[in-house]
Order: sequence, then structure tokens, then C-alpha cells
Amino acid sequence: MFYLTHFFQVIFKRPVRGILYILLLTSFVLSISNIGTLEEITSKMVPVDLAGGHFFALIANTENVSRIQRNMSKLPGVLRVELMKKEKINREVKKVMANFKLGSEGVNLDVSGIKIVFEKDTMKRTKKLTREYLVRLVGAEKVTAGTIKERDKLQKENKIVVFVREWGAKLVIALSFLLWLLLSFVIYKEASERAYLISQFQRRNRVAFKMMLAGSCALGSMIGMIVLVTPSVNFLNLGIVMGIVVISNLLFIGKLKWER
Amino acid sequence: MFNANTSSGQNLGKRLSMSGMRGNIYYLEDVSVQFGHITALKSVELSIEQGEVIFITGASGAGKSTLLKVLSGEIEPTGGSVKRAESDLKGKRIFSSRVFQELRLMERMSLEDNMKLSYDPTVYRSRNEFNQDMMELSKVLGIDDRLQLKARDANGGLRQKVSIVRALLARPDIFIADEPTSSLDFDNARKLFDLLNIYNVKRGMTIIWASHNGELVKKFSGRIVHLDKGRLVYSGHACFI
Repeated sequence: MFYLTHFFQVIFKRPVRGILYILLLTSFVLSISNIGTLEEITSKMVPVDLAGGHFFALIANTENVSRIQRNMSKLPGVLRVELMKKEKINREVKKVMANFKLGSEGVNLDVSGIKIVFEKDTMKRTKKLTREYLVRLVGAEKVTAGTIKERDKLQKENKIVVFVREWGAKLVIALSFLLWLLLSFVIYKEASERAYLISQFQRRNRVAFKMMLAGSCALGSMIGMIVLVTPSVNFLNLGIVMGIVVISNLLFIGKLKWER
Repeated sequence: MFNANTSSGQNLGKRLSMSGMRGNIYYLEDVSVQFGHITALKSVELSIEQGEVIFITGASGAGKSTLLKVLSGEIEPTGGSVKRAESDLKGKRIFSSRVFQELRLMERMSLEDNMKLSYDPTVYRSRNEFNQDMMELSKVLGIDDRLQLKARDANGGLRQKVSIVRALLARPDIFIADEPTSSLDFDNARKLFDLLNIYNVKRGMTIIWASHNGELVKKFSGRIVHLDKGRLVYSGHACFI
């Protein structure tokens, strides 16, 4: 108890730093022992783009756009059909008109816009047939269908998104480990000094070792209990990470001396 | 009884305790300490008995601090042997505490908390007894009204006194102090010496005190060990100098 009290006195000498230290350690242990779940979470946070090209269509407002959207969604190869906001359509039309140095006055903007998004790997012929079906369904005079834009011609997927999807879990682990390590340097220096003074003024041996061992065991069992209530715990990883934490705690101590 | 840290033999300590060297707590035989090309101590022969008051004097760089570090076990000699008694004749562990030259206080802790690092439940019957001791010692040295100050905010003299009180609160058998009066005036140094004398007489505490101020320590009673460029050149009472 004596050593544990001193360990926590050092940790919580600055409460914010102490809480951060424990949170980072918990996050590190939790993420390693639940790496599968963490990978799942990070990939869900940044969903994979399944789109494989699209085209836009402007449909006169006299038509039932919702019905058209429903019908088009049922077609094979169509991933989704998005309704576009009226303001966006107006803005886009005005932009196009301005590009051709034409005034937008007198232009009938009483239209709805839809975006038909194809599934990845949908054949070009299927896409063409889908576009032709739309024209037949609505009537050529009431619909203006844009050209089909292929996926590879579109803007490539954001690199950060791809990185987060692939490395998100590992990033969380690495960041929590590095920050924990950084805080540990500061905290353990103070622990080492305190242990040195205790061993100088009290009849005790191996104070630093006992202090860190007691602290590591207490923190380890506390975090261990939290980890055990989480789903799909990888016990091998949990064992390894606990070992790393305890060993690095003890290694920090090294030879006890006053270093200022 | 003896722990023999020797370059030649490990069980010499045991042999010494059996060959009538009882009472000696330190026995230095031909001790040398070398730091690279610099010789800090050269062929020092010294024995210190339990309950003695020793003043180690000498100019700056004479090897006083090195000798104290050797005695306390912080550094091992590069030549010769040091024997330290580990327990007294009753078998009780001999414990030493130190006043460091650089004081070694926890800067962010209050002066009181720094002193409390000496609270050893195996030495004191209760926390209360320790607190009483702490307050008494603080009063004697005139620092009892400033114990809540952070160490980093305290002046040199105050820090030094706290460092001394901390070492005394450990109730050591050997009190080792490196320049404990460097920030104190003569009156305070005298007060401190009187206090240590009480501990020496009442509890048989051995006092080993290093000071570059030879004139000051001549005014106190005790054995003077004078060092010059790492060599022990005099060991005896001040009246014979």
C-alpha cells in the first residue's frame, strides 16, 4: 500500500496529466486487445465507396419524380438514385449558361434533378440501357439526361479517407502508445526522484522497483477488468500488451540516482 | 556485521569483525578514486568509529565530496577497499542519511512534504510522533512558519535547513552532510552544530560533516580530517593543528 500510494501521488500530482496518462494507457490496451473490433469501427466510420459511375438527369416537374426514383432504383446495376436540391440545380444551370455567355432570364428552371449512381463494375452497356430506359420512362421531351461519367474519370477517392480506412486502427494504437510513452517519461522521472529520496531517508530497499511494480499491477488489473467486459477480446494480444506495459514501467526506473 | 566492498576480498568484513575491530563503522584502506585523468582521492586510509564527530576539511576540489560519496556508497573506489558496518553490535541495521551539497529537494513539493519523505513507520511509533519531531526541529532552526512554501520558492538558507531537518527526521545512525552550512551565517551554523551535538550525545549518532571553511569547524569539537588534492594530510583534533 505504501508503494502504491506513492505511485498514485506521483501520477496525480497534476490531475489532468494523471487522468490523461490513465486514459491513454487504457486506450492503448483496449485497442490492442480488441484490434478486430477497432478495425471494424474505423472502416465503418469511413465507408467504402461502392459507386461505379453516374449520370444526371433533369426531369420536368409535371412528372412524379419520386415514382421515377423508385423505378430506377429497382434496375440491376443501379446503386442508388439521389434527388438533387432545386437550389443546386438552379446554381449549376446558371453556371453553365454563364459559361456560354447566355443570360439565364427566360430559362424554364421548373425541373427536378436526379443523380443515378451505378454499382462498381457495372457494364457500360447496362449503364447505357439504364439511361435509355429513363428517357423512355419519362418521355424524351420531359427529360434531359446527361452523359454517363465513368468512375475512373471522376475524382479519385480522397487519400486521407483511404488511409484512415486502412490504417485507422493502427493509427489509434500508435498514437495512444506514443503519447502514453511521452507522458511516462515525465511521470517516471518524478517517480524515480521520489523513490530515490525515500530510499535515502527511509530504511527501504528497491523502492523504485516496488513502486512501479505495485503501480503497474494496480493499473493493469483495473484496465484488465475494463478490457474483459468488451466483446471479442484477443487474450494473446492482451497478454503481450500487459507485458509491454509492465516491462517498460520497470525499465524506466533503471539505476536509481539523482539526475538533475 | 561488515559489508566489505573490496577489490581484493569479499569476506574481509567478516574477518575484521572477528579480529577486534568492533566499534568501527567505516574502514578505508588505500582508497583511490579516479575520474578519467583526474585523481579525486589518492591512497586514503581512514577509520571512523561509531559516535564520532568528524569534520572533513580542505579547499574546493580537495576531494571532500568524493570521500563522502565513497563513505555513503554512492560511488565505489577505483582502488583500495571500503568496509562499511551494516549492523551494530546489537544486530540493528546501521542507517545513514545525508545532506547533499545540491540539497536534492522535490521542487514542486512544499517544504513540509519534502520533510515528510523521511517518515518511516518502522522508526516512528505514529505519524503524530513524526510530526512532533518535525515541528520541534523546524522550530529550533527557525523555519516552522514557512513549511508550506514550495521548495522552488524558498531561499538558499531555508532550503538548506529543510534538507538538514529531513536528514535528521530519518533518525540515522550516521549523519553525513556535505557543506551543510554553506548558505548559513555563523549563528545558524552554531545552532545547527548544537542540535547535532544533542543527537550525537543522546542517540550516539555519528556525524560526518564536510566543509571548506576550516576556521569555522575549528570552533566546534570533533576530529578534523584534512584533505589536500585528494590526499589525507591530517587526521586529529583541531587543537593540534
